[in-house]
Amino acid sequence: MKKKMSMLLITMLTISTILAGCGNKEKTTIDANPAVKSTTPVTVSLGFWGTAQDLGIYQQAVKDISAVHPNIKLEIKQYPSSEQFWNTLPGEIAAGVAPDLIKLTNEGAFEYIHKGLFEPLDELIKPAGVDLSLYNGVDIWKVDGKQYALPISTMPAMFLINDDMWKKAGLGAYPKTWDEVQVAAKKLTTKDVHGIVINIDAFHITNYVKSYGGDWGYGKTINSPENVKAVQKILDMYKDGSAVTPKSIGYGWDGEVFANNKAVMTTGGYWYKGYLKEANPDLHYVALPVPEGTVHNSTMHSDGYVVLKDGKNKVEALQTASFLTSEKVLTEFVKVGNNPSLKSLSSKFFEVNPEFDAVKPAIEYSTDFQYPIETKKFIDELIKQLEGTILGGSNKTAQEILDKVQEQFK
Amino acid sequence: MSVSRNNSKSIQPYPYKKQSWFSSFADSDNKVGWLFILPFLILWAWWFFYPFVQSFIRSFQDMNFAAMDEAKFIGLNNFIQILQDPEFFQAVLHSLQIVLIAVPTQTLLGLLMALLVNQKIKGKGIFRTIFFIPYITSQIAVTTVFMMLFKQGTFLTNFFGIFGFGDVTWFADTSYALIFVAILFIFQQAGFSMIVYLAALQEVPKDLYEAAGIDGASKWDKFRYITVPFVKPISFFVISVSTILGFQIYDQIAAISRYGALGSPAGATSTVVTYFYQHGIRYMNIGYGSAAVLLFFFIILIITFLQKKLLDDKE
Repeated sequence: MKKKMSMLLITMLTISTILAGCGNKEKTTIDANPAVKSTTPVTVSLGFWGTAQDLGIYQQAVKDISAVHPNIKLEIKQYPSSEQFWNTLPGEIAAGVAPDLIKLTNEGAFEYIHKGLFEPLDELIKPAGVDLSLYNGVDIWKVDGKQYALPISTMPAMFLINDDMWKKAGLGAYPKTWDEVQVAAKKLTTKDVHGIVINIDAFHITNYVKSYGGDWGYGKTINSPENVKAVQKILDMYKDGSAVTPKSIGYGWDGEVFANNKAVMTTGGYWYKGYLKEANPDLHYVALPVPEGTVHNSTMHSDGYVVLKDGKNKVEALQTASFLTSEKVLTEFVKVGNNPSLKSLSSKFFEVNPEFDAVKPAIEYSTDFQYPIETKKFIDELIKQLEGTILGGSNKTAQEILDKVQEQFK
Repeated sequence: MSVSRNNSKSIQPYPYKKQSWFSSFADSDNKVGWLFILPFLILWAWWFFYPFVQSFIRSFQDMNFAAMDEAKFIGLNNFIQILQDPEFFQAVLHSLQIVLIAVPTQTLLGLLMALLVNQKIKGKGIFRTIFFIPYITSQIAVTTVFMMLFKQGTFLTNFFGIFGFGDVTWFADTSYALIFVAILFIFQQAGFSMIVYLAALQEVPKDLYEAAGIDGASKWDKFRYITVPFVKPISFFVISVSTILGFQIYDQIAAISRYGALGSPAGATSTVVTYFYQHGIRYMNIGYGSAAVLLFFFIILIITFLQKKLLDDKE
């Protein structure tokens, strides 16, 4: 009996080996000269993460697209969160079930562009009838001279303050520098509330880094003196008790802490508007430029629609992206705080979102994230080293933390 | 030597004729048996063997999700890199720690719960259900609830403070996060162990306990000399399955690490599975990840083999 089982298992192993060796040899051929305008009905799938308001806008777009592109049926797929999106996408691409079109930010896109996951749009633009001159922020999505996304929005990071708590503390003018923030945070910290919540997250850390005149230099300047100064400021605020991480008080991210009135200040982005509207509609906050460390600088956040390299119906996908960046759709996104890339709507943004008026000057000086190509590895290493000190009590200095990260990206 | 089935008083040797593989299959009893297990074998080959063999091949390749057709053979490079990576050994250590803490605890707890619900007590059906519910509840749901219960300043953290634990959010502190994961595993897995032990306990002949009682045996004696020998064979199964599941723990860690790096905080909850996920899926280095999984497979195989040697009672 044992011999027969062994023979059967060996047979199956052999068959499996042959199958494995023969598998996956086919490559999807890319049509380099797609048809100008097809009338063949096609389905374009869009993947995104966002708020309930974003979902509502896309659901409406699903109904409206047929008026402009009768041959296109739009299907939408919402991912629960950004990290779910970034973690799931490679597997979906490998399995051939990834959406044709995805909405993503410039924060993590660089790695995917360099690994060849996205289709350059240059040859698709003419057949799809897209006019790039209508958009701002086009160059943010240009890598090595090739266009990789149709920009949706561009907006600098901002600094949010719970206005009711600020005024109640009688602190007067809002802080303009991190030193002023630290002083105010100490005064605002009580038993139940922290002056500032600092999420140990690459987006937030990068804003501190930029405000001290530093940047990651695509992996070349991770442990620069400016970056060290910025990280040291963060560690100092944790040390003096005025700063808290969301995790240490049982929250997922800083937006939750802020919405629950457990912290008075936080760095953030335009997407906080939609979230805070749902989470705490009674919360009164002010949005300011990211405070100065030594310079005026912060991250420029851009959303864009990219076409995946293995996607089907690439021209139709870009046409869908063009529809989704039309005045009609982007006007809805303006209402939830997106600064539209469409030039014709630029002035409308600050009319509809007067609370972001103070952030306007930051549009001029904010810059890209400049993460290393191995972006996810960089983010994980940076978070791990910072958590080791802030949550693990490892007593590493900012220099040691950033040196350790730099080691991984020589 | 086989014995014939005739009922004569003298035992005659059965004329044994060696059958070929084909005629064994063609034998009607065997054929029916093979047909019954064939669907399982096909599915097992498709869902286990084929991916396993693919993973084995990939482990010797430099392969990226973005360009799977451009994979190139690099021999043992992936394995060498892994064995030089201190994070891999940290992950293995954490996996071992979870198993060493959680498996004996949930096994013992399962046995105790089974002994309790095997008694003639009122409401034992309700107890059985209550103890089993965590096992069938979503791991993410349980983790989310536990994350609320183990936040700084809550009843549970204050309770554990009596025993010297700090008033911290357990899953956010590098000293407590791994214990938190072990607690989650114990809470969910003990119900499964209980059900398995309960089935074993119900096979124990009641008259053995009665006879032992007449002979003056105490409750401890009955447990030690009657119950334990009967549940010992099933213990290998419980411990093996729990060990394998303990090594595979992932969902709870992913829930804790949400909005942060997997293995958060600061890698305190990194395990071999999270190591594979990070390298194979998140960093898209599928060859490297496959090599890590293969190493892990052999580790579990060795541990399971050792467990069988120590625990399996053939008598």
